[in-house]
Amino acid sequence: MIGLGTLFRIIKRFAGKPLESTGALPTRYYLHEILRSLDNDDIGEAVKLMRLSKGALVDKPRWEMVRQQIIFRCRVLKDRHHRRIHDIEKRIEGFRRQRKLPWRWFRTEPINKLAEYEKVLALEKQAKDMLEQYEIELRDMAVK
Amino acid sequence: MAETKLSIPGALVGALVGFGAEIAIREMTGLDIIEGILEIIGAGFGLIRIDKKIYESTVKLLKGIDIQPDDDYQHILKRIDELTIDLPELRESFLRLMEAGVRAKNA
Repeated sequence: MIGLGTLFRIIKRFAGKPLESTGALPTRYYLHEILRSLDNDDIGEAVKLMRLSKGALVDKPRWEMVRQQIIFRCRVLKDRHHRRIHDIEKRIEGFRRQRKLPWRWFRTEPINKLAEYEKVLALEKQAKDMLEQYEIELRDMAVK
Repeated sequence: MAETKLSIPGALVGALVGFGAEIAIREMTGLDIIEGILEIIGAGFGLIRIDKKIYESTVKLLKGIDIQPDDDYQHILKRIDELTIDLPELRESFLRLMEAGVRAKNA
């Protein structure tokens, strides 16, 4: 016997994804998928699906709750990135101070490490900015 | 047993007539039949469990807050307040969950 869950997954596999982008599916379908994306910390996908879901009147409180959950997760992750940025900036500062010492002028190891830290710092800042954008977009959704 | 014949033009005409009927009903009554049917199908395939999923997600979010093991109740509350500054429904859910947790711990 095929369970309802399996049946749903089969239908979703064949019909869900192509229909998803049309925004014609029921709100609950989108909420279901948003929560799944949130589980995997895929905020981008969650926001994309949120944009597509219209928020049927009967599901408005659920839609609102899920919207708030994504904003909350954005804030938690943003906070984490903020702390990491602070930590990396402190380390970079330490490396720069070390390089000023004459006996470290010709050593390449700290320079390589510094470049790596700067690369990570840029990525962290990019991620934080992206989360900020998502949060703004989600906050605007409530107004519309 | 008589052999069943499938007609592609027939199917296309049927789809076209259905689409025309949907537009006519929508124009005359303002009701969106297809959307309504999709809502019913959606609810039918286990999506009625969405409330449980939202609850589970709320619990997971609460567990995902960065707190230290030695943080006290007041500190955690302050942290929740900061993060849910304009999210009243979520804040209320978190507080209810925390109260339930404290009650369970004391019992």
